[in-house]
Amino acid sequence: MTEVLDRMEATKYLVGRLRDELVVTSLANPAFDLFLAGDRPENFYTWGAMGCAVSIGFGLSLASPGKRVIVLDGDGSLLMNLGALATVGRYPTKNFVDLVWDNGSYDITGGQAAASATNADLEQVARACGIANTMTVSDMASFAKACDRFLTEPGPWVVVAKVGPTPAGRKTPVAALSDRYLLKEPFIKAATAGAA
Amino acid sequence: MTSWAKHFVDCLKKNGIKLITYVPDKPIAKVVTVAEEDPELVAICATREEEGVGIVTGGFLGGMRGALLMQTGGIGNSLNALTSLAIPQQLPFLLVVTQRGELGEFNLSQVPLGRSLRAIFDAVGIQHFTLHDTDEKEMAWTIQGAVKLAYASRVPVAIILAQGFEGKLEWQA
Repeated sequence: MTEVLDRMEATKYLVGRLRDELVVTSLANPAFDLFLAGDRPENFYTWGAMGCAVSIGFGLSLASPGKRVIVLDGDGSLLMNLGALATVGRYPTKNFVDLVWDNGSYDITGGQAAASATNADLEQVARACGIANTMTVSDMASFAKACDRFLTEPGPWVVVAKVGPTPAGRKTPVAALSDRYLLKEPFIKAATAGAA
Repeated sequence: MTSWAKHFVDCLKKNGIKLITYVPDKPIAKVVTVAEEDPELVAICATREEEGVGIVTGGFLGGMRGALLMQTGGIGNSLNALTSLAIPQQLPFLLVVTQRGELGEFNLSQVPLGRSLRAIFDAVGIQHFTLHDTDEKEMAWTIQGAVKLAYASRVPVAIILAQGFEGKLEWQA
């Protein structure tokens, strides 16, 4: 079996390296993992609008050019909004990172295979959209090296991280995230801090 | 030329709108042409209107007021983002929709959504106001009021540009 990353471990590692980066999550698993790995004012969690996280992050990268914006995306979500990559390629903001947790499936609904499991190479899609800075990683060592680059080098970046399925029995922080979901003012304050 | 589109963009700017995201149609193209030449504005062409909802809400999170311009059909393409992102998470912006499917429509595929547009807005709780012509005073008043309302109520507010609003000319096609 091909080696894959543990998504939660990778999220915890990433959180450990963050400073003032703004993080936007796609719905469900990327949001749950980030919330459990380390809630911080600079996190914005979505819980709907599947596919839109990449676009929210892109809009934010336009409005907050002094901050690096990292989207924690899912392969199923990105597949729903591939046109967004064409837009990022057209207006390439240097502070934009789309980190795609790619488990090749619709994990949250029971693991039905996604096109990313068979035929759709999301890194190649990004490249074909004119996004030059792309990587695909599938173990912690290469993920750590990817972080070295997308946290410091100009983007836009699209980084595909091959991850395994969500472990059975993991609790989802539904109640706590419901409250946090509505609390966006600290995020806006962080996003606009230092702006002219 | 001093066009209605120039006045429209001036009104957006006066009300603090900086990010103009759009999927083009003919009237919108006129607004965008003005916006793209303005160094104070950021004009972004989205591939799909739902993507545009993401872009303008992201802009709001970064402190940038936005407008999203689309034709009627774009509301069909963006309903999920409006109702599961912009409305529940209270991320306001100005929605500008050019009307299709009403007076003088020649394309029957535009009619079902066009005639439902206001009912859809009412159903999801998006307040909407219609500009029937290019009267400058009315335009300024409506844009100012809609922007004020959007950022006070913290949800998107729509301005509908009625079919034929550019002039009561002979219906085309």
